[in-house]
Amino acid sequence: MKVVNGNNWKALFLLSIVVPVGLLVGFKLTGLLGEPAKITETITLEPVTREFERPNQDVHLNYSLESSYSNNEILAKMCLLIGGYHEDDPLLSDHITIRVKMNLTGADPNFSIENVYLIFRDIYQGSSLYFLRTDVNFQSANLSLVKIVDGINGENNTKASISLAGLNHPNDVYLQWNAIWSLHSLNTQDHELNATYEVTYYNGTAYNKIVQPFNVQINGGTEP
Amino acid sequence: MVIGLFKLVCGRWKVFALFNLLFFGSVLAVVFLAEFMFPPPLYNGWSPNALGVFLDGSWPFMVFGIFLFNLCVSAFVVVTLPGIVFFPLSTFFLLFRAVLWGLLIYALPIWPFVAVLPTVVLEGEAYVFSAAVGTIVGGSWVKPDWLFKDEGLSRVDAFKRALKEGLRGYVFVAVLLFLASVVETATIIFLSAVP
Repeated sequence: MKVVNGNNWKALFLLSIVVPVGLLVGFKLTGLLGEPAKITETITLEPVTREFERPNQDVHLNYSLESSYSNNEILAKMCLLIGGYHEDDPLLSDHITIRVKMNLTGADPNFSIENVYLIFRDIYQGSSLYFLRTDVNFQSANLSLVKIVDGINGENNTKASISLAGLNHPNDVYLQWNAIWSLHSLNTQDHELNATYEVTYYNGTAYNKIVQPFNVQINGGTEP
Repeated sequence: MVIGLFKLVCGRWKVFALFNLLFFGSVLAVVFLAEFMFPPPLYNGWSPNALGVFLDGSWPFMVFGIFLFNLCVSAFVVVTLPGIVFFPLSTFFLLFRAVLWGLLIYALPIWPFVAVLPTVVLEGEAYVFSAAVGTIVGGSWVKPDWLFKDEGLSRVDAFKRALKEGLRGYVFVAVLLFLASVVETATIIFLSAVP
């Protein structure tokens, strides 16, 4: 006895599309499949600032701009380290070495870091910022790089941005990345670097965001 | 030619129905699994950059860009070709795509979810056809009797015949992918216009 004939296979062919897709739409429209979440709270922290006069020779600055924030969900340590100032480099002109550093730890086992976004702006149009791609200069834990844009002069004088995503819903993440901020200007020129760190995390029930701005203001000095 | 294509599909209803069930059933299963296994996805809105991905957002270029990429890379290189070499690989890569699509769809709110469904159905059906072609051609030289019962064909003859059948099958794949690329372009333009 032929249990499934040609017409039945044709019907099955159509049903094999209609049934799964119909179920998907039905479950979505009836709310059985939930809607994606949105960020419920954005906490903007006080900017950490540092102002100094622009040197006119090679010098170790070693300024550390640090921020530590904790609530009952997260402990966030974020740093922007200003390394050395280098005068008249043949390749990079006057430039400053900087290091981005952050360590984020969740308090709850259901906590996870969703993504981290860093954006850098300088009021001076001619400057540029590059992240160093070698292993020595880049260290991270539980983060994957989604997108990096550097060496640009984008909208609102954006010089660089980095987008990272948490790997496998991590409870804690770490990032350290060295960069070069090429000033491309005379020593009398002022600069102001705004680095903003944005951390989005899931606390077990909702998504929240922490925004930490850092400001580095360099006042123009004298020509060497 | 049209009659030939019709005969081809009619002769393989079983294969297409099974692949359809595997593909769309897997998409549904992955959406459900993701719903219960992962935290609710975070939706940051539709990326306006999507328009610029294909040649600065000029829609005829987008249509052909999407169509050519999907036909050559996504369908032929990724799904069909591995199956011709080793026939279960077409099914494997089809299911892999179903998992990826399930994870993408699961993260969408209702209106983009409904908007992308026509593309999912058309493009998904094209990949089902391309996986079926890969499996048929790949299976023909492994065991000719599986496909051409009681015909006593040699491996070479069975492969040649399956290849001919596969080429005709690819006309369906191309037509479906072209329709899918038109719908996908319209969907991208629509989603980019909605705030």
